[in-house]
Amino acid sequence: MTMSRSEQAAAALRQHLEEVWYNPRGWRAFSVVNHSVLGLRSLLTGTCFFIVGGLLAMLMRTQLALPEQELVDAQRYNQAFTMHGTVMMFLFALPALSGLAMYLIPKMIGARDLLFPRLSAFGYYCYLFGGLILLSTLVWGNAPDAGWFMYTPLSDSRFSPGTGADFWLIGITFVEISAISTAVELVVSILRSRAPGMTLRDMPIFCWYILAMALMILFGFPPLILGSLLLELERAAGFVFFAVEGGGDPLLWQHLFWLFGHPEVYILFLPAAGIVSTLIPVFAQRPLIGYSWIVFSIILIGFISFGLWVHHMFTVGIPHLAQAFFSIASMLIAIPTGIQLFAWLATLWAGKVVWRLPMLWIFGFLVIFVCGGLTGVMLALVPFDWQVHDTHFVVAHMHYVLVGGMLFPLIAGLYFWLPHLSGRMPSPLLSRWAFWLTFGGFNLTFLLMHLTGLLGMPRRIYTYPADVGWDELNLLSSIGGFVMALGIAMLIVDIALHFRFGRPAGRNPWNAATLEWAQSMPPPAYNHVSLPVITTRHPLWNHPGLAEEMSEARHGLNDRSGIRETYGTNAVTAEAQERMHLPSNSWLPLGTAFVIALTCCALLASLYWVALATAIGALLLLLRWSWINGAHPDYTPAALDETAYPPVHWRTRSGPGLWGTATALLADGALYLSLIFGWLYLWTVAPQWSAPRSSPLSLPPLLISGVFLGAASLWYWRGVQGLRQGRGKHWAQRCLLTSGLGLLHVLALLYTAMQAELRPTFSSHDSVLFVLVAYLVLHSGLAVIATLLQARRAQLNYVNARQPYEPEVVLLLWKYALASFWTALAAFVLLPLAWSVP
Amino acid sequence: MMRSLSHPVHLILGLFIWACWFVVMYGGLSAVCSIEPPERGLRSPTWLNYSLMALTVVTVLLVFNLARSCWQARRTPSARSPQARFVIHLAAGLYLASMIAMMAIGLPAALMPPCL
Repeated sequence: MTMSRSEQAAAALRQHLEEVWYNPRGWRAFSVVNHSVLGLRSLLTGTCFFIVGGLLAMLMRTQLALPEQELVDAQRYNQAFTMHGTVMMFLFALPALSGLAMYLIPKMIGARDLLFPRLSAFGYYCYLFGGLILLSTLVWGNAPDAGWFMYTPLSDSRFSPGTGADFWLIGITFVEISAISTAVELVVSILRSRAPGMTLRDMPIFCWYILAMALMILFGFPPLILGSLLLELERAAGFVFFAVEGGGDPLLWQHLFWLFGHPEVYILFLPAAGIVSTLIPVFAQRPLIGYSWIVFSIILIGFISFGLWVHHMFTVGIPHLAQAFFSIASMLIAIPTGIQLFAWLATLWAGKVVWRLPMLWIFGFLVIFVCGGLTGVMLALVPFDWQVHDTHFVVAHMHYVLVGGMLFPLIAGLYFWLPHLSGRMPSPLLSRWAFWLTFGGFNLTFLLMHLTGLLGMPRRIYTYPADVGWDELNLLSSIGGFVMALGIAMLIVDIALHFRFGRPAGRNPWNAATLEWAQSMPPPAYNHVSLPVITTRHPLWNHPGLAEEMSEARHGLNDRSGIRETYGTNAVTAEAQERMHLPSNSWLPLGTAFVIALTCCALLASLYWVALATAIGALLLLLRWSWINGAHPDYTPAALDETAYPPVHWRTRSGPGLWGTATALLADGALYLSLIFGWLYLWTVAPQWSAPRSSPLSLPPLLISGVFLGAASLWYWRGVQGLRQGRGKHWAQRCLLTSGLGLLHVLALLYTAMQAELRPTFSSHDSVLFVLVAYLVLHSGLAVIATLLQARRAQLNYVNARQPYEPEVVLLLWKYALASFWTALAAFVLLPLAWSVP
Repeated sequence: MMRSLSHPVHLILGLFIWACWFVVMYGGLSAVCSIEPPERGLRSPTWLNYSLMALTVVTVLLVFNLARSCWQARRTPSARSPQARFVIHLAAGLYLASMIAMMAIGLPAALMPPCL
């Protein structure tokens, strides 16, 4: 049979895309940057960590099955519950959901990849290495044992003298870099690479959830990153932040931890709810009822969940009025959650529900999560919270919320998208057994644990006496735990077997409406052959022939450009503005993550010179990474048509790097605000806070330093304005001069700090100032280095008036350095000065 | 001004104001109770209660005004496209929700002793 000319052209385009988007195999597979591969690796790695966390849970349930058991001693039990919580929260739940989002988002929004593929790979390797560093403690026998929230003073060097807590702090910080990388990636990709025409109103509902989740990560994770850095400085270098005798306060850790910890619950819930909101319309075979209401709820949850953190601290002695604020906020959050629940029920009620396998897990989610939500409202009531604080009731509530609100939807989603990945269907028999065993076992374990808690059994005790009435309940809970484990094992077996024995699935076997089902299965690395204009939330329902049209190259971006690219669209109007030029496979992400892992290991081994050397190595690799961009021949091997429309992004002023930098600076700003919060908190609350009458940081040299910084920023900004107007003749010289001014600013700042003779091991006041100066030097130094590189790139003609994109990105660094410097001056020098004036 | 109400920034502005208000309420209360508690801090109402209530009322009025502007913008030419209508409706709802959250969370400031 002969092919028509259009079919031949489509086949040639597919062949071309296969070559451009090729994912190498063998050992070169570690250089892959494709979102599908990395998303699946995250899911798989998360599953491995989940199994480890599950085994630790089995160990704990075995220990608690009978009273007065000595299967493990108190020390080992402490390690088990610490590692169980840490592994499940940091190494399984979020990475698995992020991995799913990384895999799905570009396919759903009609893009060919995420906008920062190298960042995806870097984030994955940070996660992997951070997780392995943490998990290695189980092998060495020095696992952390201070609980997954590492409360001080229990986690300080006096009460946790081994290296376990250090592994936790450094390993988790490493993993959090990964979470923030993924968040930046997802935010910018959702906002800037949707299919043309896909406005916010027409975006798949899953994307709203992921957008909110990613933004919450940007603001929620930095407080814990800061807290971990401060605690590690306290443990390793003797700084003072949380020790009362040096002017610190252990409650500062609790604030920083829960500023992360409570939003984290919703960071996990939102993507899972996104899966539910995606699946229910498919199996009800009708559009989601209340799309706008659900978006309303998502945004509301995204904010209100940051106003609840103190409900974890109701027993620490906070004024009742403040507790009332958080108590009411904790109850209010039930309203947007309830709105979603009613929207889901209404959609099921109005549709013709097809009871396929994923719906079983959705049913399990609805039952368990509603119960968890109700006990959550109970715990929001301060007097009730006081009664059950630190008992098994809280443990049961947390598992109802997290397993019901995250694990069940995740499994529903896995079963739903499994045919997309493998082209095969799971076994109906095994999968149903897996569900009922998991569902039954879970409820047997944790429903009874509510009662154990109400009977007064505290959490985190490794054994209990036989005569207090907890025996039967604990035994049944343990039996339930093992039944659940059997269900999970069956699930894993079912998924593994389906790759070989599963019935072949045709294209779009569930009759879903979103674009990921327009692909062939398993999907190609480039996702879509051609990119359509989308003006509906249900493209495959409203336009049944769309999948064929896309694969026949009848839509946009169907030319053979020789580079990896996808559309860059306006964040609001979704008009196509640029061709986003994406990097190809690279060893830089793996190399950089590996060298940072070496830095972490060197720190843990107290080899500080090695740590410094590897940190410099990591910086050099990152600079190399930034170098291979834009018009660099390794990044753009082919000559691109300058007149093509839309233009390639690095010939515009608003490429993904600009959005990515701005988004990353949001997280950076959240970390900085957390530092200011810490300063103000210690100042006003710490019982033994002491500060000199005047700031040790002398004002005149600080002001001179600030003037240099202002001059550098202004000079650079004027230059960028010139580039915008097509004047870029002396750009390299301008960059050199800017760097010189910036360097003078850094030197003046360092001089001020040295003159101050800070003694960070003696007082929390000096410790905070030390961290502040380091923060400012780091940011200004980064701007100086980036500007020096710009000077060189201008000499090589990678940057000029026709390619003005990169200077816009560096301008953001100068603006941030300037804002953080003057904010620091106001908050850390002028405010105390004004306060001390009689 | 009316045209800008269809900008997605209005989807977060109300809750951003709520967040700032919340930080000032909690931070202000904690700082005052630590540094300079009111003389009758274990009873209510004190000047601190009145200050917190005043802050709440002012912020609620500000957000109410924004909600009203969005509501009125529904029928203006700027709301002609479905995307603009979507944002304006949603923004109005979110301003309203922010306002309700402020009133609910701020209510105890009128009733409870501030530093107990």
